Amino acid sequence: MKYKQAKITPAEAAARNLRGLYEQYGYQKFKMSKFEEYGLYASNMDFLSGDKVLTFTDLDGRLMALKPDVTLSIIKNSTADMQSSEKLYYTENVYREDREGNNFVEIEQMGLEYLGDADDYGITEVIALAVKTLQSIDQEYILEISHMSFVTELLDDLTKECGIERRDYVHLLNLIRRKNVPGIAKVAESLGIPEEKIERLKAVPTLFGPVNETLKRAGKYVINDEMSEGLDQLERVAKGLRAMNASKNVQIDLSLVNDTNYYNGIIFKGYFRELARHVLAGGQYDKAMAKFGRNTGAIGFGLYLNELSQLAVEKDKYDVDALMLYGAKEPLENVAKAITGLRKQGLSARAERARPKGLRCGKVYRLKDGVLTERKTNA
Amino acid sequence: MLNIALPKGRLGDSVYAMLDKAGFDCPAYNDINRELVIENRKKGLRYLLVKPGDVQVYVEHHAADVGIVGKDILLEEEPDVYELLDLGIGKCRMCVAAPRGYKEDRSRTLRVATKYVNVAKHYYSEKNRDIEIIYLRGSIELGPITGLSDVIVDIVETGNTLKANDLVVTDAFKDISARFIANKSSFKFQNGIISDMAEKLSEQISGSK
Repeated sequence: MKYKQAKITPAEAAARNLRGLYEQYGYQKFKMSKFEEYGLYASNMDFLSGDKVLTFTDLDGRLMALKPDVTLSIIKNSTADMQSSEKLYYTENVYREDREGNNFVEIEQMGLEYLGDADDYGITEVIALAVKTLQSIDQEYILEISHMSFVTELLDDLTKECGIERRDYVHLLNLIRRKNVPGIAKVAESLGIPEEKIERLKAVPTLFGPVNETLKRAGKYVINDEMSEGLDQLERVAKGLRAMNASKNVQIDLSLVNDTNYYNGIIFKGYFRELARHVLAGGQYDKAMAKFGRNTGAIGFGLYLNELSQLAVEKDKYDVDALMLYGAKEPLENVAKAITGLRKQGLSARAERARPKGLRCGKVYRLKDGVLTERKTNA
Repeated sequence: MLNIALPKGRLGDSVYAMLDKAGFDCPAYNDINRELVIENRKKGLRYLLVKPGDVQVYVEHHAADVGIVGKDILLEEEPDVYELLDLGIGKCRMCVAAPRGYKEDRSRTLRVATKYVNVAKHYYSEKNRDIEIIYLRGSIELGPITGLSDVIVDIVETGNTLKANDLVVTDAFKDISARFIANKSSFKFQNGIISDMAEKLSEQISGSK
């Protein structure tokens, strides 16, 4: 017997399709425990997107946490080194505070990590998979890529040349992230930063758009080799993406910056037109690896499956196609035979003594003495 | 269709005048009994007229693509949005005010009455000052007068209300004005029209200086 095709949500479809995609590229599924020792997070708070962790005391008295993040667990458990890389993907639930900061929420996350000496190809492969991940969910997406060195070198230069303090460094970084050009100008002027340096800072929020054109514009603001190499690498990766057929809707936005203690190099974020905020985020986190004493690089991304529930899906008009009502005296065989008959037509059918409240059904049948009659309905 | 969240009231009216001048007009704005949602279909614009304190909520959650909101609200709520322009109108300052002749007693917890809980917390935590926040929705000036609090943290435009209640500004620590904000996703997918709007508004700001 053929079963009815069940409605699949975008998140379910993504979770299933993406496993196939990642495995095709040789990434292996990685399953981990729901809990970690709280200490892991306490000493790496900046890596997390919030500072609230759901903790409990284990039976042996250790303070444990429900994972607010997956990447730290992967770094901790990884055996990768310069010679031998690891390619992993995961589907896990993480526990974080909600946006209003009132409750903890469970967030379903899918992600992919490449731990090892990631060269240009390795980086390109992960970004290509990020693009393909977005493509497999919705065609109206944008993946924006940035290189951390562009902004960090500009700000490090201010620290060295103009003696700005850490506090001002972070302030300027946040203004850049918010694309607040007037704010950058105001703060930079109040710090007595020379005009040409201010002009460079003010340019960063405007350095977004198509890859080649944006990189060309960005070239004018380069002040050292690190920045120039950053832009070159973006260009090489963009070329690689074209070769891997994953360059559609890929853009540059150099105002995209992550936490400077953990991330370095290339970082990226994915958006869908329909959704309010990014659904995919990733990048190189060699610095995070170093914090755990791992002498090798790493790059990966996470996809927030729960955000996908906001994507519009065609709604079913009915909860069931057919509702069959039968009387108390109707023999069991008659009910079984009749309902099986309806289901054989490929309909979803429900047998009930009385019509359940609020149930939307396509057709309503009445079964009496083994005879099925359709009832007029104003469902 | 570009959705624009405008604050109802004087600020919204001034900003609408700027948008109108920039070519983003919506004739229904001037109707006496106007609706909360008005459209100019030909130009693909939809204005949402919302409470001033709600603009950033609409924008952050994507119900509006862009909006106009006071910096005081951005500081308090810290929504995850792009802050593209300082419109230079609706100017005031975020201040600490106290009764005339007030002398702070550093030996005890400072009681602060305010509508801006996060702003006040942030301001005093930078000074390492132990405070007790007393959240009020309005008429903050009554705090010190009634003995409810020692000082207040609030926005001050002309200072007339403070004067009438015998309060003086002890520290004006932030300039406030109306800002043009955009949803991060909208900014990428509708960059053409949003950048155009920002540019035309910006021309009017520099023109008026």
